[in-house]
Amino acid sequence: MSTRKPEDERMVLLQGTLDLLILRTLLFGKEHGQGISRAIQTLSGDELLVDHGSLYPALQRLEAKGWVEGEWGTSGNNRKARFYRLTPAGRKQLTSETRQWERIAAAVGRILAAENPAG
Amino acid sequence: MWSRRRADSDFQAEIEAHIRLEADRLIGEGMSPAEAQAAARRAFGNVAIARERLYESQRWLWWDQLGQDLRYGLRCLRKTPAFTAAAALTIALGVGANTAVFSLMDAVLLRSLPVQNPKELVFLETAGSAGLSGPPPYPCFTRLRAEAGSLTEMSAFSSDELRFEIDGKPEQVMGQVASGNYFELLGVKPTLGRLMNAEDEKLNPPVAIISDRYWRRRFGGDPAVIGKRISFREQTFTIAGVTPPEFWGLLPGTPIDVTLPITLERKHLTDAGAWWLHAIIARLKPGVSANQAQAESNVVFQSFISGSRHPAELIRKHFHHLELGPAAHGMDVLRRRFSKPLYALMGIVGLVLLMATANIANLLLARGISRRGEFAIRLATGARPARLVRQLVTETLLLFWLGAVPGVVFAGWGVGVIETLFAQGRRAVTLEAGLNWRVLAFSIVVTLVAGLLSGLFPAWKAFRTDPQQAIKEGEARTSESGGSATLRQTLVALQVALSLVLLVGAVTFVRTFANLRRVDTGFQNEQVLTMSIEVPDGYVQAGKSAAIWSQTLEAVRGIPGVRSAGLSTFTPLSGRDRGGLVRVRGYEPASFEDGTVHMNQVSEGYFETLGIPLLRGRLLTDRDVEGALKVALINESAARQYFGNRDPIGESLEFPRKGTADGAYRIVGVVRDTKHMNLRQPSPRFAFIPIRQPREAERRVTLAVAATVPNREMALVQPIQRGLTSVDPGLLISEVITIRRQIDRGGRLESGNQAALRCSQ
Repeated sequence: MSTRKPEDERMVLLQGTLDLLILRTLLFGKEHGQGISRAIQTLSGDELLVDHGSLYPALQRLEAKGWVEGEWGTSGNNRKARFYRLTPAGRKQLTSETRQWERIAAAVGRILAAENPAG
Repeated sequence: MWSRRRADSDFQAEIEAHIRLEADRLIGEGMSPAEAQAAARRAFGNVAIARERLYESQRWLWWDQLGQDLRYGLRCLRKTPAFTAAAALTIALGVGANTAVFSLMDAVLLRSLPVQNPKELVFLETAGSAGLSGPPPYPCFTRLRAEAGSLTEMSAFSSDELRFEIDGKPEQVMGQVASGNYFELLGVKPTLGRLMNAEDEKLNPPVAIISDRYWRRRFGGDPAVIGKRISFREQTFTIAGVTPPEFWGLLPGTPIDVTLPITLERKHLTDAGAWWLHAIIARLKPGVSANQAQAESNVVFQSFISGSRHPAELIRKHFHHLELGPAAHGMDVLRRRFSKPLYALMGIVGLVLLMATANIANLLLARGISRRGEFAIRLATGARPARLVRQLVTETLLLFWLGAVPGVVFAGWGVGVIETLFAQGRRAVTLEAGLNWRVLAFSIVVTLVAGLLSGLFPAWKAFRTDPQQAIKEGEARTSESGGSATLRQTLVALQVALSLVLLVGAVTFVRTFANLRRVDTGFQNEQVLTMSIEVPDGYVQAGKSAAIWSQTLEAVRGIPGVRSAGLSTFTPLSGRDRGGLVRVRGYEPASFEDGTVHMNQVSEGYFETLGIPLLRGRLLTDRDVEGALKVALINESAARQYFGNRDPIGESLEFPRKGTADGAYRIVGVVRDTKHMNLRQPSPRFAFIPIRQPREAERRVTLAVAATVPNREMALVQPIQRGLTSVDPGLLISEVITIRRQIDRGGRLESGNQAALRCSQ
């Protein structure tokens, strides 16, 4: 067995962050649902668990908003799968959401790093 | 989102693809294919939920789920037909009763007249210490119309049951005479032909305006009715137009079917002492306040009344000043009479509906307990509680609509019943209490609120239980958690309390009604049939009516089964009344009121038929006719008041009018008091004079007939009608009713009031 962590030690993604991560994953090119989920898990150093039950509705939501486009295709090992690609609107959305996330993370980080929070 | 919709199967395929890819990966990591497949599926989680979420994200879901819920609800209701029928019936009664009472409230209290700017309209009425006393005489009206500048237009009218001849046949119609500008002032537009205008007051040619109701009922809605001739008091009127369906006149409860120019009342137009108008209506000039207009018109009235010969006391009491009242809802006679009973009734039916709601909530709660297993399974398989609550509420609302629709139909029938409850004396009350948007909106809101109330409670209760435990309890389904038991007990307590209130009300109604029936009316009120008879126009002027009355009595008395018969201006407790000034030698009235007496013109046989006992002297005979000595009877109250301990027999009464007396009537007998206006008030003073020695010849009288065989009086109706037609085919017969029923009508309103009073305490 590989270095996989037991499932219950991984963090479940917050609602909303999943959308951002999906868009970020697709920045490298088109990918199918399982690939997106693997990529998020791998890139997070196996820290994040993608709930598959939420992944597909999220993809559906992004597609409905016009940020990704889905299309059936064939995977590397010759399996049929639905591949998603980032649209120009999705790219713009990713930029703005990334900036926003960074600001939130920085702000939260500052608070947590403060020596004497109560002042 | 419709264009972007993806088929469920496509989504399913995507998930399957995902699982295969995941399994491939796991196999690559060294798992056995079977193990990998299972692990991939496990990792994916609940496929069904994922599919459902997708489905929900892309449809007009709400609508879709409503359809589902309705179908499911119908299935559930069909499974328990007894429950469904009982619940729907309860709701039908509750909603129906509420709709019926509300539609009456709407007709009597809420609805404005269907006229232009009803808020600008005012009624002009005289008032004094005794309250409002009706509009002033016509000459005062003409002065007001000419001099009151703050009122743009002014119109007078007077309504009554009028006797028309149409195609040579007599017919009684509710009608009115009105000023020529009546419809223009109100802003009522014709549905057919034209309405009256000021020119029509010249009666050249005389025109008549009929109501839409009458046009449809009497003339079958034939447009050729315009130009048709009808005759009234031997004058021919041409029908010129039809009023719109929503216009019923200004008297709620009394729809006006024919309107004639007021100028046909020639002799009344110049009589400054005749108080015969029903109302004077006027429109305020824009920007003028009602107070301003009242002050201005009162000046005119004061100058008029100071020139009249009315006693000062009468003026103080009734004609002290002129008042302007709002006319937006029509004359408020009906509102004054009905507003309290209607509000009380609304309260009662509200309670009934509340009880029905509590009852159904309770039934649903019980059903909810037996369905706990079902809910638990649905929760465990992933149904969200909110979704189940929604489904339950939909089911309850469905149940309520099942009941509400027949309920509204039932309301139509209920309106009729309540109307008869409000009818007083001989004349029925006809309200335009139909279904309109306000009434329908009311029923819908009532149904929704009641449905939500009784649906939400049980639904909320049902999901406050732990599904696991519910499944475990699944077998023993009747067990009940503590909380829901308390709720059920509260509901039962509420129901018992409400039932008690209603029971008290019902008992009060029945007891008041029974007590009123036991009240001694002073006359024989069982087995007496009455009907109104009216002679054709011109008979009175030609002096033919006395002969007709003699022939009528002769014809009726000859009919087998008739024990006795008598004629009178009116019968007791009929809501009708007459009266006037009286002068008695040796009696000084202490007030204007004391100098008046109620008066009834009666024939021989009247007291016998009604079983009114003679206390002294003699009753009338068929020899008390024109030319013979004028005689009169009085009742106990009159004897006591005018003569104290003296013997009234042989004394005389005079009935002065405008200072002159018609000649004296010799008192020949004293009869017992009877109830007159209602069952509660004691009898007023009465004088009875022979109908064939009248002060004023009657055009319309009431025939009272007692049957030889008890309870067979209604069987006499047809023979009597035939007999009257043989006397004169022009006689108009109306208001055929037994005295008992006529009294009960009044008693019902009274009992209803008492019951409502008890309920509201």
